[in-house]
Amino acid sequence: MSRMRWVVFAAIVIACASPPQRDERVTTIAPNDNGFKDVSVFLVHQCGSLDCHGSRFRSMRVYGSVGLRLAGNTPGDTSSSGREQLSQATPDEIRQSYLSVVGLEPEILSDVTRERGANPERLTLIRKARGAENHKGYNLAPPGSRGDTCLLSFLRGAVDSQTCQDAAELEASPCLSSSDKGSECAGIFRTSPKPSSSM
Amino acid sequence: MKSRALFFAIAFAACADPVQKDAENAVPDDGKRDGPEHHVGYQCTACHTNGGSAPEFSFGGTIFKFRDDTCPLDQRGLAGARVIIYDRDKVRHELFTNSVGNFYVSREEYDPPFPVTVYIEGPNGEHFAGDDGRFVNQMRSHIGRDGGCGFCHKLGSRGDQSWVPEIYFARTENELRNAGLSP
Repeated sequence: MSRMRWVVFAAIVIACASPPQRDERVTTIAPNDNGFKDVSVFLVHQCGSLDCHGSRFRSMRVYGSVGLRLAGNTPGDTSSSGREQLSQATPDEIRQSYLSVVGLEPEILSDVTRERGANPERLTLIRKARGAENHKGYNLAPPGSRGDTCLLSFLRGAVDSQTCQDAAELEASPCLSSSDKGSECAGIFRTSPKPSSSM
Repeated sequence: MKSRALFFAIAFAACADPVQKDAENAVPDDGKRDGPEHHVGYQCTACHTNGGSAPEFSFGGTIFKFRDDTCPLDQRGLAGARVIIYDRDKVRHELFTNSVGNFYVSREEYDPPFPVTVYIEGPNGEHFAGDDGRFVNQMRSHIGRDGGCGFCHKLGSRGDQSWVPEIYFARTENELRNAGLSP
């Protein structure tokens, strides 16, 4: 093909390419943030450890008492006089967690939200939580579990606060004290605990 | 011949993982030979990881006696402490700290399903409970994916947003003594 023909061909291609439309925008909608506080409790406890979604370097970041904190809310670990007090997530932290979650796949989330939570597995968030897609954290919220119910209630726009709170319990943590779960937890350590007050 | 050497040099450079290299370079040289007592308090899995320069560990870290920023690192560790791990299936596994407080296990020997929870017990079974009866020597969160304690427990981290301090068994020297352990 001669050079002239190439020039003509290129000019046609450029002429046919449509310019971006000024008003071409996608309007996204997200589930209401009412009640997200309870969803956040579940997410922080199940997903928000510092090596997982409590890392600043993850696209889904959740903030809270046992993980990532916003500036000014760090644990009281500078004091040696008392056990560090882990303050609960602040409204700012809950807001940041919300923005992170709804910002993951905004267009798909819009569809799910418009359809009142129908076919939630369209969202990577749900597939990962259910373990339907490769996820290092495994299936922390399999279908029908309390965690799954919590997330779905959020997508439907009516957070099931109690279920979210229940789902926040660390199922992987067998014992918080020796009296938990009958005798099962008494055997973690070899001797009786020394109360902190006597130290 | 020259072009072949250039080809291999480029291929080698392309294969090197800069993130892994940076992680390994972040661990300072402590002057010790490679072995169970080196790099006290640092992230074991910086090197002992898949693709790292040392055999892969599934878990590794250092338990210090108490919070003390004055002693040399290799004198702060708690020897003989028991690290109790419960995996996702609630199967228990125990590891013990060596003379400098380090503990580790290879991925080949122990590769638990995550998440796991961790408790720490002193050499003679010492552990603490708060006024509410709750165990104190327990991680407040579970470990979701990285068994290198130093990944989150950064040496010298104080009041940080993204990291937590090193792991220490007691808060103070007094607390350690009252537990029947010598500093």
